[in-house]
Amino acid sequence: MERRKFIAGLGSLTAAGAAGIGTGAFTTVQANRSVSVSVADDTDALLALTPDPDDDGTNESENADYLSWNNGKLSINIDSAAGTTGSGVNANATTQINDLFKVVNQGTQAAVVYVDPDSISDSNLTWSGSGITIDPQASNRPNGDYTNTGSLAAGVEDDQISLTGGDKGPTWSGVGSDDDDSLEEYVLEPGESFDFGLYVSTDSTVDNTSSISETIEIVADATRVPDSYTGDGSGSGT
Amino acid sequence: MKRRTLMAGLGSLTAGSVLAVGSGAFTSVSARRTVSVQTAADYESLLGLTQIGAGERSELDGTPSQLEFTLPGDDEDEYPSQDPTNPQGLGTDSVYRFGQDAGAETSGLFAVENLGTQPVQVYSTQSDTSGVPEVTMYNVETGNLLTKNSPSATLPTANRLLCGLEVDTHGVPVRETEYDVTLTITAVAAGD
Repeated sequence: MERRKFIAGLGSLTAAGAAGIGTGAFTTVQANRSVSVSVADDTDALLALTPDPDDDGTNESENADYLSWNNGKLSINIDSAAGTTGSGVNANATTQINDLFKVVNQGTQAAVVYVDPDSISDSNLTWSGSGITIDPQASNRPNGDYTNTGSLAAGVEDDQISLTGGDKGPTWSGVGSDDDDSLEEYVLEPGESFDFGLYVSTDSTVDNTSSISETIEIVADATRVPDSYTGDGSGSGT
Repeated sequence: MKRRTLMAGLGSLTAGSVLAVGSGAFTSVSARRTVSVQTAADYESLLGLTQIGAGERSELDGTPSQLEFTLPGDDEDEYPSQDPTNPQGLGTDSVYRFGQDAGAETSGLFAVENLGTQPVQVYSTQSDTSGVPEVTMYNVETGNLLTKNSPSATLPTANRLLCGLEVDTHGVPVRETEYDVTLTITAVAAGD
């Protein structure tokens, strides 16, 4: 009780020095407010990761055999755990698997969707690594005007881009003339989706037991949609 | 304000019909998901490549095993078994086709197997052809060369395509040491 008084005294002192601050000081206040959060499976979440966006029980994604599920959370398995006869990628080869699943914006605002390049270690990233390296890809994208030109590697789709932005994030100059132009390529408006794929390359340093496991971070950030973005804006701005 | 109320109503409706779909906006989301990738031997990887027949014109070698070709074959001098020959190489200014190995009784020098998830079309390319033999895959059943502009017919999953190699030595001089050529075998999902 003695201590409490002392603190109240201090409070008054401060109030006198800076006018307009209330004199009713407090040490702690507890106010209970309810926050309810429902957690959904990847297939139904605000940022949905799903091979079957229309929920009809048939996968729209052609390569969902490489997905495995654990408590509603997906993993990508390009190894013996995949639902394929082959048990991994060839050595000395590039393997491109497009449309593993769709990334769907089920929120109410447009968002810039990409993979944080820092979430993949440099040694396992196509742009810097060796052995088995990966780079997540987006294709069948709804926004932006970037198109691949020139001699495309087999299987690369016209609108395919690196989701890590070539290790530089979604302001990558590889797909746009300036930062805003690049960011527009990564925009998903509410209800829109793109195909998530993986580019895998292996060199001659791999051996029989080579494998990598990475935790990649898929980010959807509404604050990064550039002001210059002129989509149809459906559902945004509410 | 009116519009906002309506949107909220819509949101609730959606949540009702598709269980657990949120109705709210999000500012940012980040989701961490794992990716695992491993290598496999050529004969059991997504693009399955297998050798056929004895004689080692085609051979799976290394770890993980990769398909390699040696023409004439490493064991060419053991065949035909009754009266072996021992060729030193291919003639210059010629076109050879190798549809099977030296000691093979069935056709096919090697096979491409689709061990992935989608039907594919198969072909070969060679990035550098100047001064070295030009090598192209062909389908031993139809005889058709398999090139980027004219790939194989669609190969369904779990099916295999029997292949041979055509080697063109025009403009390639005779020499003691062998020529090393990198052949790129590509399988592309049909329709892509």
